[in-house]
Amino acid sequence: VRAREPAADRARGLVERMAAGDRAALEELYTRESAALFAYVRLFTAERELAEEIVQDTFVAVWRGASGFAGRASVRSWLFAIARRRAADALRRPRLRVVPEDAAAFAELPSSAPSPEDLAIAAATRQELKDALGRMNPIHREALELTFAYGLSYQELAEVLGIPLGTVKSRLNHAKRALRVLMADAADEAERTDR
Amino acid sequence: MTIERDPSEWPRLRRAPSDADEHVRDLLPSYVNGTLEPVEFGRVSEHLARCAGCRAALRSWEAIGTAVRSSAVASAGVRDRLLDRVMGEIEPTASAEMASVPTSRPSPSSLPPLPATDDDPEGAFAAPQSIAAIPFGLEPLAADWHPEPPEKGWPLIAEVVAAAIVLLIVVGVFLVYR
Repeated sequence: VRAREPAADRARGLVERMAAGDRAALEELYTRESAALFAYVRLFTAERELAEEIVQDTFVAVWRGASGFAGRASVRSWLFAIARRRAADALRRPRLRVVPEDAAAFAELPSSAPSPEDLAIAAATRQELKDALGRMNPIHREALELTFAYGLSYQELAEVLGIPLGTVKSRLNHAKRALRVLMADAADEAERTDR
Repeated sequence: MTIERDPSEWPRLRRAPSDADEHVRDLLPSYVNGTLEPVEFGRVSEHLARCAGCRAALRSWEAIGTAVRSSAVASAGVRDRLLDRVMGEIEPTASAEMASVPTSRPSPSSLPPLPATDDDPEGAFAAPQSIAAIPFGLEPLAADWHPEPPEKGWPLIAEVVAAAIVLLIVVGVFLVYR
């Protein structure tokens, strides 16, 4: 957590400079974050041109909204939240939503024994996992990518996704469970093909 | 020493897990990505040392994290020209406009709070409507903010000096050729 603080302070400084009209600060922020934002937006659209437009719109919105950045959230979660809304606008969907999640329905009973789901995922090859990720619902994959590819904390995830902290945890667990189901489906498919 | 629970104890643990057996699976993604607070990190590490179930969950999250990172990197990559498009859109006449921005511009923290929306209850992520509606993004950000008036004194002095020099030249020429 502490290692992230200098980078976070630097990013806040960039936004403050942008608020004062410093274009070089925008260029630096673009250099730091555009690849991550682009990869994130590609979760929602396979069209490269559209993804580029969304990223472009995001940085323009960031420039124009820099003065309104209050610093309550991290710069990164602010960027992702704007990109998410721009993606939703571009895709003409009012909001990016997953099926209603009931945290209680996915809560695991406490157990000191390894679950079959965990054992199967841990034993899977990286390619098996990547194949399953490629078929995953974008909303579940979004939660996994924001966590592991972009290193967002639970609080930052809640801010980007616009959901409570408890739902962040259940969404991640839901995503893991969906991953396991997709892996099992792929195994069944392969078995049918072999017959 | 690591103590593994006997599977026959599962039902009892499910009914009434003690504090010592409070599992940490919900925290494992943030444990893996390094965003867990130090105090929580210590508690999770301690629990992992004695809980095979949570260790298995940790290994599954680590595998997922590795796969996600390798997938995300493979799809990354933005064309450089996109930066040119962004810079071109924000402000075509940036140098002239920026030169007129006074240093007394209000800081972000002094601005009024932004309107709240459904997915942004504190308004932290909302772009101010007044900004979005005005081109170039260098407009005044508060209703009572105005640019400093341009200095008048220096150009007036310059004009007087120039007039005096011209007058001296004319008088000199007149005296020479008289």
